[in-house]
Amino acid sequence: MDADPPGLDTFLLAQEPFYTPVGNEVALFEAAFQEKVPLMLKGPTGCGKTRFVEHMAWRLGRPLITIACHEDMTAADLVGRYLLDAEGTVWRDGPLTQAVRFGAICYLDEIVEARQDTTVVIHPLTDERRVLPLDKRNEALIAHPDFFLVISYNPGYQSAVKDLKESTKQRFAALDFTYAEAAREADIVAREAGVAREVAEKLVRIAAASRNLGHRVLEEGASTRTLIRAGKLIARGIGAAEACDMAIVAPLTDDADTRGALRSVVAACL
Amino acid sequence: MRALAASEGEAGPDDAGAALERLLRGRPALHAGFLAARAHVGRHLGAAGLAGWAEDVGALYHANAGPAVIEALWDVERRLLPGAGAATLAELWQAARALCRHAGSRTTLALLAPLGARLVYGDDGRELATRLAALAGLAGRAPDALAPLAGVLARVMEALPPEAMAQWFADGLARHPADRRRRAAWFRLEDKLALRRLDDLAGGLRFAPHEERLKQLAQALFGAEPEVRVLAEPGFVRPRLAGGLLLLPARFPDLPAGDAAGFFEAVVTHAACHRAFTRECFAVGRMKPVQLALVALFEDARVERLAARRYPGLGRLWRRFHTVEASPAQTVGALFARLARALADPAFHDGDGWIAKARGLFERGFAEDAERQGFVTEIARIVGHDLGQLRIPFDAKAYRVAPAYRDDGLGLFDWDETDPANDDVLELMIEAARLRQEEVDAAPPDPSPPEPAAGARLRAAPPREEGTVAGLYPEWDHRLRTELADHVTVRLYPPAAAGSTALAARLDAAGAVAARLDALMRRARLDRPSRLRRQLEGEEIDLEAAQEAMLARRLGELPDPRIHALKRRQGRDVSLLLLLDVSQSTADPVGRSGESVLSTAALAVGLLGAALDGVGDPFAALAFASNGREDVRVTTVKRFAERWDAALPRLAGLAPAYSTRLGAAIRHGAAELAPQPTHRRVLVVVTDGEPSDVDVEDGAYLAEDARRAVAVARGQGLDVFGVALGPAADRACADIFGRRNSFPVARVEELPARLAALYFQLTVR
Repeated sequence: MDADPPGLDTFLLAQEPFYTPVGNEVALFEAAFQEKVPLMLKGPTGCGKTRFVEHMAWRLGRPLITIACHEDMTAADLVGRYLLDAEGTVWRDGPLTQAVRFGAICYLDEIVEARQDTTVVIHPLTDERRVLPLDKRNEALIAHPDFFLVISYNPGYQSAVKDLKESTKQRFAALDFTYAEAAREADIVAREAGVAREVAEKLVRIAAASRNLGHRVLEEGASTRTLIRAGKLIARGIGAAEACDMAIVAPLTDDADTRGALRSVVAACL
Repeated sequence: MRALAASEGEAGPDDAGAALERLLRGRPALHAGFLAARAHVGRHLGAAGLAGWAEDVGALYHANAGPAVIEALWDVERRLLPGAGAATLAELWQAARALCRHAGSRTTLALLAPLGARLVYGDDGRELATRLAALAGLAGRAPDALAPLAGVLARVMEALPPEAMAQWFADGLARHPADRRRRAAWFRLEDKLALRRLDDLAGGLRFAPHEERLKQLAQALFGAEPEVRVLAEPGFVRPRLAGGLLLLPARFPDLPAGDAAGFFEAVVTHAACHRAFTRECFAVGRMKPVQLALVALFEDARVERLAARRYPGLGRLWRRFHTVEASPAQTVGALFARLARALADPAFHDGDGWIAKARGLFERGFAEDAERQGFVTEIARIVGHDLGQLRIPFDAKAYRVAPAYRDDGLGLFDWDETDPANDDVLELMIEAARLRQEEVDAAPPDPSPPEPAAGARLRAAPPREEGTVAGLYPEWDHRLRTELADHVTVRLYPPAAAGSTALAARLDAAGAVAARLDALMRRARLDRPSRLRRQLEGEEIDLEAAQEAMLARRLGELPDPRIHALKRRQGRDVSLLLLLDVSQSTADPVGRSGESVLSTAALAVGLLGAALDGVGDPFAALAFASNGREDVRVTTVKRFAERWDAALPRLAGLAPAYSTRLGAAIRHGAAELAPQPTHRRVLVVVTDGEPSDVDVEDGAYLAEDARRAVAVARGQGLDVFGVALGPAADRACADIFGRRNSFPVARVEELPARLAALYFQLTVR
């Protein structure tokens, strides 16, 4: 009745994902991995949380299963379900079950997007039990020793409707992420986008100015990711002002005044 | 060629000019002028041009223009001719003829004087022709307007380019199509609105449209938001720093036109540079005014350079406004402007030795330690002394900082540390003291609304003459088809104290109505649709559930039959703001009961409020009346964040008075309602008549303004409805809110039973 255990080799990372450590997070992650303390990565969007997890999976040589959480996700989407075929019913492991069974790093990206009743299925995995109950199969799946759970969580989105249950939060150790400081961020942008260092520095200055508007007129300032996007456009020969408008200003806001202000920021920094 | 044309002009017997020339022989004075003018025109335009010209002159002469007008035009021509073409001249003569025909020659002459005074020798005459044509057009439509205009024409022309001047004429006619007396006041610039329009048209240099953007810009670049006040005062023509405030003149007389966005950006970023980099005020000590001005100039350059290190684009922005060119001029104004440019623009070259020395000193000081403010004072002393040696006088009163975006520098000094023996700076000190005072005066009224607990305190306070200013709102002038910015002042008045027992008793008496309303309210469902899974019936199959049901059947279990999904509107997500008209007319009695319109409306609001309180919809109520555009009176009956019980005494205490300026009330209500975080935001206006106010005579004006206010509020995503009490209000409301969105209540005594039902009806549609 079981499907063949799928090889998790496809989830192994072949190349080292580029990541520049900001602090001691690599050692902290490794320690948490050895102790199997579930991890929560907190930080604004586009600051490198996902890249960090990829980098660590590569470093530890474990497969990485990433699940982008969304509102319509059900527990069955995580755990697995019976499917019908001509022969009868077939159980198909969900991604979480796969990771638990074969010892992968499971990364639940933007976990607050999922409904709270969905996320409670991870509770038994995050305490000493380390089991995943599969009630439909009448099975309590003991986690593989290498199974490791990581979630990401953007505190900027916090609202009454979208927040983690306290009982969920407290099962995790947390690593705080933020944007790299200016010089390092410029290095990252220059390398990832393939632009000259001076261009990267200007982009970083634009981002720093936009982050001054964060939490007041903007939800968040420009992320490192948007800077890299802008840099890539510039590297393709698009004018710097246009590239910034397309990759940074326009996505950030629809408010005419704020756009005007950001365009002036771009003009001032270039 | 020239000689030939001239001889033709004098000799040609069949020339059009010949007949006129014969005619003019009888008037020797005019004749001599004619001959001279003809010779002059002939020299420039040739024979062909001359024929047309003579025809035009003749036409004006026959139109009884009088010799003075004709001579004035000849005089204008003499100055124009090297630059102007025949066509332009023809336009001039024709416009002058139209002017004479409609307004008479004396007025024409009075208008020509200021026009001629602006002419430069060799001008191409286009501007003059356009202005004259605009005047002729005005003369055709309202000849009576020209005599009042003649006295102020110079001022109007000073302020407005030709096209804007024509627009200003058109505005005056649109505003006062029939009333000659008021029209004369407009064109004499005695009408306040005329002056405002003059300012508005003078280049659109209002700060308000740029304010939000620039505040955000300063916040983004320097991490601090400037507080800006606009002051309209004669003689105040440069931005000024006053403590944490940035004071801006309402008008910049010598402004580069056409780039208001860039200009204000330069103003705000320059001021922000001072906040970021001028760490402490400069001590005045024994410095002379000229040295103070130089300190300010060098400090401006220093902070701008520091900012431009990080934001090179700002440097480019500021340089756009350094338009002064190299010249040998040796006045203080010219030297300082060039020095400012030399310090801002490395590519600028000026031969002056003083500027070169000052530039060198500054470069050295800046290279040594740019963060050290003190070097600025040191070099200001040196070059200020040099200026004295050159015997170049400095007039502190007449000096204006250049370029115009820079602050006037007074805010950079600590005037307490002035040497008592230093008389020269006394005047500047007074000026600086004045700005401190302004800073105090201009301090904003406490913007935070009083806390809920302050209700009792407000009632305890003695009634004040003027309410606190809650906001300035624009008003739509349908004749001008434009929004008059900051035209109306909305003031908050504290609610009057009154016992609520009577109202409470009436509310109790209406218990049956209340119960029915409650039932209605609870049935109203208005939220966004959400998907309900595992339903017995529905519009679509819930795949997950269907899968499980099939599985259960295969496994021989009893399947769960709930395999449908459906979309439902669930829960309520709507907020309401009620605007209650409490103008004098609501004191009228209603029906047989003898209750006034207002007390009936208060009962209705009471019932609605109680129903909403039960349902939990956020709800606020404002009462409004008006006493002219400076005093639109708003009383808060209930705030959103307040319990319903607290509002009852205030509702009972409402008293009818004054008029109905509906548009301003709607704008204020919309501003209060807009931030509510609900899916639907509903604004309901309860009014008993058409909009009116003491300072408005044009019946359509306020209705059109209210219509505009409704449209703008709808543009913000608000739902705006009108409840019209009585037949007169019905007609007005249908115009203002639209037929579908206005609800007539012909018999006002029915309002309590109907208001909440109406709300229910309109929030489920």
